[in-house]
Amino acid sequence: MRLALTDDQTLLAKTAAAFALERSPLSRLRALRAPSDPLGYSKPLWSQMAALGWTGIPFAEDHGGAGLGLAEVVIVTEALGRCLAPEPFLSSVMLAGRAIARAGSDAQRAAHLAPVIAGEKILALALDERGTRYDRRRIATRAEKTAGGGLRITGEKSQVIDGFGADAFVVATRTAGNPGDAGGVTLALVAAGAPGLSVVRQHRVDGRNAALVQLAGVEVSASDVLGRIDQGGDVLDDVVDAATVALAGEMVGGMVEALDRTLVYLRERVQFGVSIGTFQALKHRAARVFVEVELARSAVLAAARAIDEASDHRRALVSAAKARASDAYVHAANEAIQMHGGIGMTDEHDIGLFLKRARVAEMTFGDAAFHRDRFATACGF
Amino acid sequence: MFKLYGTELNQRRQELMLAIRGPQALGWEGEGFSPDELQQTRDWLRSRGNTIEGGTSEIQLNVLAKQVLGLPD
Repeated sequence: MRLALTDDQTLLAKTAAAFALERSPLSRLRALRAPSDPLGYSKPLWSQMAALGWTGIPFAEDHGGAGLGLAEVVIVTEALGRCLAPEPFLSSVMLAGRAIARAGSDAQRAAHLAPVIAGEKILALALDERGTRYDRRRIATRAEKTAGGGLRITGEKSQVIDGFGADAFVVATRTAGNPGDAGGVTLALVAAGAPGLSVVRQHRVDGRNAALVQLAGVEVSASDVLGRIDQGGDVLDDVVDAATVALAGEMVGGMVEALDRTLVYLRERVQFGVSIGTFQALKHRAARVFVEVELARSAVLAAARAIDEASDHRRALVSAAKARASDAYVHAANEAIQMHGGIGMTDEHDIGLFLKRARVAEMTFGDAAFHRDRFATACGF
Repeated sequence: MFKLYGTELNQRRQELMLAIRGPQALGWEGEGFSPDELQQTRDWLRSRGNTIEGGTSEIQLNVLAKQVLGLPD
């Protein structure tokens, strides 16, 4: 497998890195995470990202996209991860957008995917519940069929990424079977103002947008059912796997930046009359973080290529990438704090922001232990 | 030795608690998290300081190496 970037990918990486550095300094985050700004991201900046073509990357050209793949997606998410940009790429593009692209009708794509790619509407995937942990088979939200082929949905979705302020939701609901069954899940489009829908902002340790979404008998018509009844699980498997790789790419960006900032500090900080970077104990620790970062980056690239090439090994490689990225990001962030010493523990210092994001990213779509288990299962154990 | 081991033990304990609770240990305030879960997040963050405050683990290791094991500077 070729792990070097093509010329086009190198150009995209340069553009993305320059844009992120210039338009999204970490100081921006501090304003966005203030309680006065419940959205937690910038709509104007999101429009600019859409104008650059980033929101169309993973969509086919006849769906209005750029016809590129995960290899290009992870280039963009790595740039976003370096500056901890909280814009809704994962939620609106990789989760809800790709679910519509994969399962939606022409009419649904025209109505919902086009504005997502244009950056005009934000969509969110209402997937996880308090009881699902990382296992989508445990979905307990239920829908009964209504006359006319629609659904009446009742349940609660927790930590819906970018759910607060979203224009519409793709809701994963059980239409058959019981929590724990692999099948019987259906996807449905629900508009933000639908009667019976309540969306409350949740505050997590990384400060980003998340929402508690309650559905009390929310009715959707047959035209808002996404894909086939009871067959939503297959769509979710593919969509969440691709989003997991996109997130792992973001995590690589975060760990690279945490390491770079730590290296700057190790050179600058003087103790006992010398730069602390001269201490062998710290050199070795920094070198070990570097090795973990490079392994994670390679695992992410391999997973991205495997999905793009529809390889039989893609499930295992996605799990390898997420397990590596989860362990490496938390390790890099913990080491960054420890090597910064007391100053790293204060909320005023930026290095702590990486630890907080690392923890949320680690537990999104499954932590390292979950993915090591899934890797083993995919390999026949 | 107690400072070195005790603080690292507490960090491992907090990491284990996070792994057990999963995403419910990510809350900072407000809806969707129990008071215990919100306290867990704070306890974990606080534990990262344990190996820094009052003499870092690196300083404790230096003391052990020099004064207990008698290794040279």
